[in-house]
Amino acid sequence: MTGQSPRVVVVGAGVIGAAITFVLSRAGVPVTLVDRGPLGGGTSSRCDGNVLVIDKDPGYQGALAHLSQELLHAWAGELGEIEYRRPGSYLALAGDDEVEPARTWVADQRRGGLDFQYLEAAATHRAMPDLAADVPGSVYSPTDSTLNPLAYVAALVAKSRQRGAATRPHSPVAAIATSGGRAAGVQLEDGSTLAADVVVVAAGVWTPDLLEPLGVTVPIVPRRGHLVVTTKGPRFGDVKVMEFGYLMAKFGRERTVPADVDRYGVALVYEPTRAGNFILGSSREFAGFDTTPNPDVLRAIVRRALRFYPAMAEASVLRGFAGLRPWTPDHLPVVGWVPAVPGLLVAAGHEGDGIGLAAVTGQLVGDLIRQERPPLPMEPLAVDRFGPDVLQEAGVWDKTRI
Amino acid sequence: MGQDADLSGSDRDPVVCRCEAVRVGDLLGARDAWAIDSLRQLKLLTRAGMGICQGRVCGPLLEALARGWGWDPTGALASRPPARPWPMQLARGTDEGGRADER
Ligand SMILES: Cc1cc2nc3c(=O)[nH]c(=O)nc-3n(C[C@H](O)[C@H](O)[C@H](O)COP(=O)(O)OP(=O)(O)OC[C@H]3O[C@@H](n4cnc5c(N)ncnc54)[C@H](O)[C@@H]3O)c2cc1C
Ligand code: FES
Repeated sequence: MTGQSPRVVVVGAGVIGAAITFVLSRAGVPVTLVDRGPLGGGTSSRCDGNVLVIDKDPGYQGALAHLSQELLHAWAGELGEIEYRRPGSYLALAGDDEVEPARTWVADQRRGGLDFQYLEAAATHRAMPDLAADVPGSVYSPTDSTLNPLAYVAALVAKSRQRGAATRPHSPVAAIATSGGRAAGVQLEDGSTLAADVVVVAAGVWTPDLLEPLGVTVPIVPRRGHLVVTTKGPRFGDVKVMEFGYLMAKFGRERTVPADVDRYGVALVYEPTRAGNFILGSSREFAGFDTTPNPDVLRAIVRRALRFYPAMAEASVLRGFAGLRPWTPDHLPVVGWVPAVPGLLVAAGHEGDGIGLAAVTGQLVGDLIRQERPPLPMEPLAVDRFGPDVLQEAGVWDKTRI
Repeated sequence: MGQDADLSGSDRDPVVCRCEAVRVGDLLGARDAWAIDSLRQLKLLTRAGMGICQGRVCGPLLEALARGWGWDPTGALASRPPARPWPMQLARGTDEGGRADER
């Protein structure tokens, strides 16, 4: 197999590049994974580790996420200690006005084949005894899982290396090399070239920087998110809980919430960790490439958590940090061949779902390279699906980069 | 491994980070199992330096180990705000901000 396989270079050793390298190396394809920093040093180590369908739009997005969950579940045993577990997840409602939308959401998801449940108040408080008494109900998704994202990246890379993949950390790619209009490899900043038959750009929020010089525009824009980490101490249940309003924040829909919650796109995410503390999210802002934590956002996240978990007032914040979600206008990643440059593939733009969607992305890219039939139609993910108006608008947001 | 292996799993294996109970042997194990090559990644994976002291006490030792392995530890332990743990109740009462739909 190796003899006739194309040589592949993957640019970007985040969770997406790592999953692609894992799938390719398993199939015996010669692959080199390149990153300008350490492995997993980008967004994939400044994030949470949720692998969710609960927050996906019913339909294609949900199917993509569910397939990825099943792939990950199958890989987990092989990957070793990545803190993988599958406790399911809950969406708590903030008020009676969310009851009807939540019931509709559950009905739509069930029609799409996912086993969602609507829990009335009594069942909700049985499952989450620490929730504020006025939470009127919740949504439950049983297949949702969680893991340690950096351990996931590290394990994918370690397995790939065992199977012969090469890794080149601390090797910035200056440009994608072309020959006769085809991708021919990558040129490193030290002047050397890595030759390849196929180049995969999996550079997260930095993907446009590598594609622009080739005249290829993809509307991927950094959407900053903050997380709050607590000290070890009291915990507020072992299940992961988000608020239903998270969906509204994620898809940019209208919510009735306090002003700072709205301004920073704050929505409750409660994630108990194995280490004995918990993580709180989340926020969503277009704020360029700056990842310096903003104390106002951290406070808004804590206040939002107190609305759902009043007893958390006793807990203490250890630190906060921010990462950059690779946002796209239609909340779907860009995964596919670049029509204008044969041999060039893009796999980026997973916004707040890259950890969860890494497995399916690896599978899809592997299928494209090996010319196998992918398990899902890939048109919704196509590089050239965005119209000129969308590209122009995304270009305007991009100007906020610092 | 050789020399390194003598350290791990015994009482002679020094604790690097008390609050997360991470020993030198744990660091070596993670470094080798995952082929880690930076202090920031090792810190995130083993939690050494991520406990309550936030690297103020354990930082110099972690950095010395990293240098010994040929890594540049600059910035890996840079503490992120807040510098000291703060009770969540402090977030109460400040800038409730009204409701977005009332602005
Ligand atoms: C606060 C927060 C919480 C999140 N929570 C979750 C969650 O719970 N579940 C979930 O599924 N997702 C979550 N996400 C989203 C997830 O983190 C991202 O979708 C995912 O990490 C993106 O992975 P990536 O590999 O595309 O990008 P990255 O991890 O950023 O990797 C891109 C890599 O490309 C490298 N690179 C860039 N340019 C070059 C170059 N010129 N040469 C060489 N290398 C280069 C970078 O160094 C980087 O390592 C969260 C994100 C944030 C910010
Ligand atoms: S001793 Fe644990 S963080 Fe410093």
